[in-house]
Amino acid sequence: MANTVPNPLVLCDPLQVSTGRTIRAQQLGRLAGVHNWMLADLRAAPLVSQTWDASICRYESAGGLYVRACRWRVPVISDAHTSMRVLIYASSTPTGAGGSVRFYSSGAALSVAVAVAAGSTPTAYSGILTTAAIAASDYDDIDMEISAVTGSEVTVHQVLIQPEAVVGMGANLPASLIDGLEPMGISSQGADYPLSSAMVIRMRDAAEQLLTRPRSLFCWSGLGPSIVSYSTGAAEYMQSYLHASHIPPNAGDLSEFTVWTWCQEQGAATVAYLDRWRTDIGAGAARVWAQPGAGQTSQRLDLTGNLQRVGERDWRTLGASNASLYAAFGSRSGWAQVASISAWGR
Amino acid sequence: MSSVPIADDLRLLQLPSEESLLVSRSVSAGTLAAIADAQNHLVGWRGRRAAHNIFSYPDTLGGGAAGTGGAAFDDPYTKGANTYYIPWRCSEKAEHLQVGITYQSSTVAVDSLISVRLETVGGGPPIIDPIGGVGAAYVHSTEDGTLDTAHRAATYGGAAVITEYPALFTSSGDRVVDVPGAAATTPRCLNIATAYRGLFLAVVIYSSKVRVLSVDVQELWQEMIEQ
Repeated sequence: MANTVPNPLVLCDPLQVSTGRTIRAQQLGRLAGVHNWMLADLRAAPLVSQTWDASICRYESAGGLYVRACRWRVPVISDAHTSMRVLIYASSTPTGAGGSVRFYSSGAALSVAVAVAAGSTPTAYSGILTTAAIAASDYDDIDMEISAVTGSEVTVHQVLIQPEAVVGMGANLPASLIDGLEPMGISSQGADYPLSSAMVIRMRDAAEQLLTRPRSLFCWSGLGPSIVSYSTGAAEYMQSYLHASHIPPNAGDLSEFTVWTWCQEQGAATVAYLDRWRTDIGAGAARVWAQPGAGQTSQRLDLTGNLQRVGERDWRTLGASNASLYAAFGSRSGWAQVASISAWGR
Repeated sequence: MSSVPIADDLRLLQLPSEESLLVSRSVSAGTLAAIADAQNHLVGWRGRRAAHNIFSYPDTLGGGAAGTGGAAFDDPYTKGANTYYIPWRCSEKAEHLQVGITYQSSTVAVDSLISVRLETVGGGPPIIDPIGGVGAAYVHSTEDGTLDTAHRAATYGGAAVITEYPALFTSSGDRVVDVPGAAATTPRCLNIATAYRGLFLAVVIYSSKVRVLSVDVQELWQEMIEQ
């Protein structure tokens, strides 16, 4: 048996390989199988999931031009998970030629267009986007762009973006590496094969490194210029509104997580920031600033919270539970926009 | 049939050091047990999929001056029913699905309703778990989570696919989150556990006179995996 991801997954019972027990090839094979499964599948979970009320994410674009609706900053879970499943529920005007929704990876400079047929009933469409980490970083920016042929309009109701599990790691050793980790040839753990030090070290290092694979905790993006603060002169707080997701904590979880915001402004605001980012996981209130005068800016905020369980609670709230956008333009006029907020942790 | 316990706290686990695994040393059974523990923890806790679906409304993070309630928006309390298909692809290993909904109702007097259903893409029928799960679950937005069966019957006419498992519903006050500004209502998160086995591709949220703010979906795996 070569490098494969076993299905069904069978775990190794630690009691079967504890001190005083004979180490059997069956248990070693299970350890190797779980090792492969983790490399291929661990944290291949949705990175983006967002829904719009009816008629909100709707675009007409004469001539079939693509209009950027959203941008999400998503974590890259490994160097091998470069295929993203994009799944949308979308509709178009009942008559006409429909349109398409295109997803673009800034890291890979690649895109996939999903055709949307004419019809007012939301329908599921799917595609595969090839992506990559932005150079020297651990994230990618994914845009959603919408195009409709002249006379049509396309509405996206829901979107999901999720890495595909790695398949086909290689039939023979040495196999493809995933973040420098090597899958197992399960046959090497068969009866009468030596139990090598290298094999056990490989499994041990993988378990340690896989602890740090990130998961998406919060991912939201606004729509074009519709979520903005228009102001002339006076500073202004926007109406605050809840943006929260509920995180199922992992037992023994690590506590670091990262928040990204992407703000845009025109008119050289003297100051603009996303205010009152809140969470119940210990980070407290925080402000995320957009740089004054910058046309577009992304800000990273590293927070240390507590994602561990508290009592019997099995969900923790993370998000801008009372967030608003503050913008001040001095004597000028302009607009500011929070275009994207994302957070990920371990 | 035996089962494998999954350690629920990684802090209690200790991976063997690399030095203990050098070629010149023998690999002990205890060392393998520690690795197996760590693997099982990773599979059992971090292998599960979760999605945090956030609903965007036009006045989100803006739309008007402070405290004014923003620009005019489509009032979900008077709009009637909405159905949302939350895209979801569960893994083949999942045994249960947990759905948390943060919603906002206008007043306690409003006869509001949220339902959750699992469907395949394209609106196919729910896959009913042959081992006793449900394909649909209904929650009435009362404080105690009591089901309003009369409302359900009036709305759905007792469709065959509907099964109610009130014992699976919980409503806990500790998940209340703040409502900003002048809003007079309180979002609340409900956890809905529904046993299933199969590959669902959508979580369908039906709401009536309720503003849904976010939906969080998480797979739950067996704490004890059959060996």
